[in-house]
Amino acid sequence: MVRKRRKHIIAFLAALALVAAACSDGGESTDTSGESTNTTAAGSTTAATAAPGGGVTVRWSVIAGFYTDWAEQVAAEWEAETGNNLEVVGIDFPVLYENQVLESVGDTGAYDILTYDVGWKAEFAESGYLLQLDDLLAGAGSAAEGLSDVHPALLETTSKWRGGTYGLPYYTFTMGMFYRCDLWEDPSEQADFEAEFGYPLAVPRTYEEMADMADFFTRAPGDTLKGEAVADNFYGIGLMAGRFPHVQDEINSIAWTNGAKVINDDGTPGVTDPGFIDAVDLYVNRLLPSAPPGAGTSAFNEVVGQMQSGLISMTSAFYLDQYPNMIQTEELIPGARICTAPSPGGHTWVGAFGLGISPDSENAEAALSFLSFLFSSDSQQAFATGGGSTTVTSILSDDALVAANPLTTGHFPTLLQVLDHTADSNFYPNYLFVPQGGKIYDEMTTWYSSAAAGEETPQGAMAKMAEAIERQCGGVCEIANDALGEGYSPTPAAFPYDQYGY
Amino acid sequence: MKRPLEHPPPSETMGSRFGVSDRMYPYVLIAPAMIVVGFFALYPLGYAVYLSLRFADLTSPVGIGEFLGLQNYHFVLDDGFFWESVRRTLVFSVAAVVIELGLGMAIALLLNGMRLFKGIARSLIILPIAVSPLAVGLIWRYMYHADFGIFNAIVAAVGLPEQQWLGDPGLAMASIIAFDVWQWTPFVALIFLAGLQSVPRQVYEAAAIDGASFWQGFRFISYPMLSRAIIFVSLLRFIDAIRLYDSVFALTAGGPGTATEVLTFYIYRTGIRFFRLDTASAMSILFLYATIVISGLALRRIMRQQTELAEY
Repeated sequence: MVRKRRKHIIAFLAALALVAAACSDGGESTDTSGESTNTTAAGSTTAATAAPGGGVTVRWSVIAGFYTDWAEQVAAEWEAETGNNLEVVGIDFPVLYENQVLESVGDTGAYDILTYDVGWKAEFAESGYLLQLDDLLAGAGSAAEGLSDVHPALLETTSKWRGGTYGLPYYTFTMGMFYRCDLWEDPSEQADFEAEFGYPLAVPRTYEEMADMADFFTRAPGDTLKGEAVADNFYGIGLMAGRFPHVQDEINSIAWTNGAKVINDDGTPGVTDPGFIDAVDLYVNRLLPSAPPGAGTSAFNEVVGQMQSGLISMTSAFYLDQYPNMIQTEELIPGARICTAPSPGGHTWVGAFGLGISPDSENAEAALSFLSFLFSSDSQQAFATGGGSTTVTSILSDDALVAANPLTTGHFPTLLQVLDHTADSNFYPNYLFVPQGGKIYDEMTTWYSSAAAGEETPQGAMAKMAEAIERQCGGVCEIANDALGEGYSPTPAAFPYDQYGY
Repeated sequence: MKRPLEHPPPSETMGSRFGVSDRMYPYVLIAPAMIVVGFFALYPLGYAVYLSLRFADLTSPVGIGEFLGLQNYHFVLDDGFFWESVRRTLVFSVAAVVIELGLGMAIALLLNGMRLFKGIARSLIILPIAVSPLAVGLIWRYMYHADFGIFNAIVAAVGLPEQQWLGDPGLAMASIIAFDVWQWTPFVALIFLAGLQSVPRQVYEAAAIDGASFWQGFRFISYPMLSRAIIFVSLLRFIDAIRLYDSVFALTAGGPGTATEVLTFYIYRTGIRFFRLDTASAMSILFLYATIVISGLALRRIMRQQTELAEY
């Protein structure tokens, strides 16, 4: 009996210890989106501490992960300066959309500052989930000066809706491409490529060239790479072909260079047009065969892993903000060098995560004060040097900053080239200006991955995508891009590779 | 021959001790639980029925709109995607349950025959059930990874071709079934083990003396004794299987393409991603109706057996 009671006591104490250990983690939300962590923001990552007494509390819903670490650091600085409190609520990206929509529809006022993806901007603004900021910005005066330094291309895609400003882009994932420039610059590889394909090995300017290079750099065990035999399979390209919201960014980038569109200028689906089908066909039948077998289930973090493992020679259109992770390849793979370039063709996915103020907020001015602080030169410099993908033009173009921080800002020149070209060509995808854009973006994940997986043919998958567009729009989609003005170009201009020395 | 039911003398009933009639006493006891069930189950169910009869798009300016009658149900029943997701759900449920029953029975027979380390084995096989499907599903996702996963490493080591476990539309559902079998077979095995251990050993010994083989012992002794447990476990696992969501979310997110988009995932996408609460509610009500019908048919058989046993 005594022994039995002792066993019960020990079991109870063990359970108590487990509960105590679990509670001591602080209950932070874990990131299940599979995002890899960038290098930490400048300075130590500390939890936000409450400002000493008084002030209002601003609640900011932010993507859990690296974004939260940096946000909490900035929050602490703002709190110390203003006496207000900033509560950072980290939410996993896969559920951020519905979480914020439900709070907005219910007018709960749960968040003062919302974080939205560029694809959700039209829906959030049209549905009234975001406060129009123009009056607030006008009243903020010099305090909001930093906000005017945001790149105009990102303002158009991420901030503007029907001529008004509804948010500010704070973290850009604009696409370019990453490639192993040590392979591209190897004399033996150059000679072999030109002998096989009849043109020099260089940064691909079209997706057909990219497909050639992907095919060229795919090697089997026993083949040579840079003159040395490879022990395992080596693949020409890494692709995000899994059922995640990345496959559409890759395929749309190809389609736009073909002059094709997801939604035509008349609001009808463009995904069944020949140019779009050709883009999907190229992706499925020319790029995918040169990708690792895991491409069919890969998100962006798996492609980063493939590069870091020395498994691939380049990416397709890929998020330039992953540079701090990609550059680690140089330490992991002896002799590897990572370079960035614009993705082939005329246009790629240009966008950012935006920050907007909820109309249900009771602290709109305090929220704007925080946004102004966030976009101040000091905050943005700390953000950028810590690995954040800033949207501020003066920092993107600061050569001294880039030279001093090569591991975190090395992609800024390429990023600025892509953004400048986008602003100059004044072409923006129609579905960024459709109120149902967020849902259409979600449908793309399903049907594009269906084509990539071979579940459907490119024609079959795009036919279902077209049905999905019509279903979401309730027929013809309304495109609210009048505010882009007369300079708006319905087709993208070709990227000026020669001008930038590629 | 029926035995008469016996009632305790009125002065000894619990209800009378608390000033409540014997007839009302059971209801008083279950009232608190029923209030909770009513609030958290019946109210949402009623609201779902309400939404299924109206226009309800949370992201439209109307929000919850006019009464539509059965239009949402007509739309759902005409929706090819709905029937495809039902088909996938049935394929998964039937395959997973059949495999779990067979494997569970085999494991139960093995455990029942063990002389050494029986307790340890019984404790270890509980581990898969003890973990969250979502958490362990994320681990399995990386184990299944075509480039970095351990399954392909093992397959390659024995000279077999590597597979796209979650990337091949033809294999992805089988991979999810395998995961489900790994997680829930122990549950089935433990239920069957309990049933096997309730059979007196002397029955098997007598059969052995009469020259019965192992298979004859199973067929004529174990299986009849376990028939009720088999129906019960089948029903339990089937109802659980058709509600599949966590594993799909963790492993494939419904992909590749739509290869593993089961009904619950389609309802989630419709209601929570696209905020069409009207069609999502209609699908949910139809799903509930189908579950009740299947459960009722299975339970009818169990109740009939119980009644026959009681009469005997």
